[in-house]
Amino acid sequence: MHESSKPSREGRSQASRSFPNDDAALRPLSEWFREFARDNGIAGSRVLDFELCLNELVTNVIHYAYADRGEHEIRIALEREAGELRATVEDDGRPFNPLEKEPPAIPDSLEDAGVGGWGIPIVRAFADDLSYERRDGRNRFTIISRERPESS
Amino acid sequence: MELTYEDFEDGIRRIRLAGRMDVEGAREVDLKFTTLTASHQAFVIIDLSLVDFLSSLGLGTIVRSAKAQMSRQGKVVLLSPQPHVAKVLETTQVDQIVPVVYDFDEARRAVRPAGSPSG
Repeated sequence: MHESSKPSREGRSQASRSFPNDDAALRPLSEWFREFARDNGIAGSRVLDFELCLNELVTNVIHYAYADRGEHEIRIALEREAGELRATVEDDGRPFNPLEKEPPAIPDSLEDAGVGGWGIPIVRAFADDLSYERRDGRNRFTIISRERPESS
Repeated sequence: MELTYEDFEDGIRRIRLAGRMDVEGAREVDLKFTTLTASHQAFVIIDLSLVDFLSSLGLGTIVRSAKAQMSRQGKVVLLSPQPHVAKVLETTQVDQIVPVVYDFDEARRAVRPAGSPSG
């Protein structure tokens, strides 16, 4: 599924697409997002920040949302309106709110450091807003980036 | 993801990564990277100047190598991350446990074992 609308003079555009629950989908996801950003005149560090958030969220879904090894569809909608960039990531995995998960402890030393658990903390730090809801048997994450004077 | 390396006379190994250090990128270089950075004691400078994207899974690959070297009395230092990559290192506070420097000579001083000949 791949739908999109061109940027309008009213300043709103949107696109949606489904990706399989496979790591191989992550680069096509990034390319699709970057194309959307280009089409909407969004540039600079904001694009990289948002791309990383999308990558981390979808990686989290691919690796942790499903109890089985079957194929699943992850739906992603992008929307740009005025200075706001929004992505919604939906999956049909088990209920899982990563925002309730404690971030990894700050290690005192390399010896004590874990290797992982950074995905959601990165999203929290790089997105301007992040929310989760369980709706109609699906997990739904929304991330928002707001326009910054220096980046768009 | 590309990986090249060079060994210096003072026992320091410089590894240059280039490209996207995401899930796919980490897998592309994983075996070679692990062999070069973690299989035996080494003093490794990982040059990140050509890495334009670092995800949490790519970061895990780097931190694993640093931990492996620590357990072997070796050391890993990160050199010249681009601003976005540096932001990931700061956000995760990995920069607090793996040194990040922006000058090669400084990297050599930071990674070189005590008592080794000056390079």
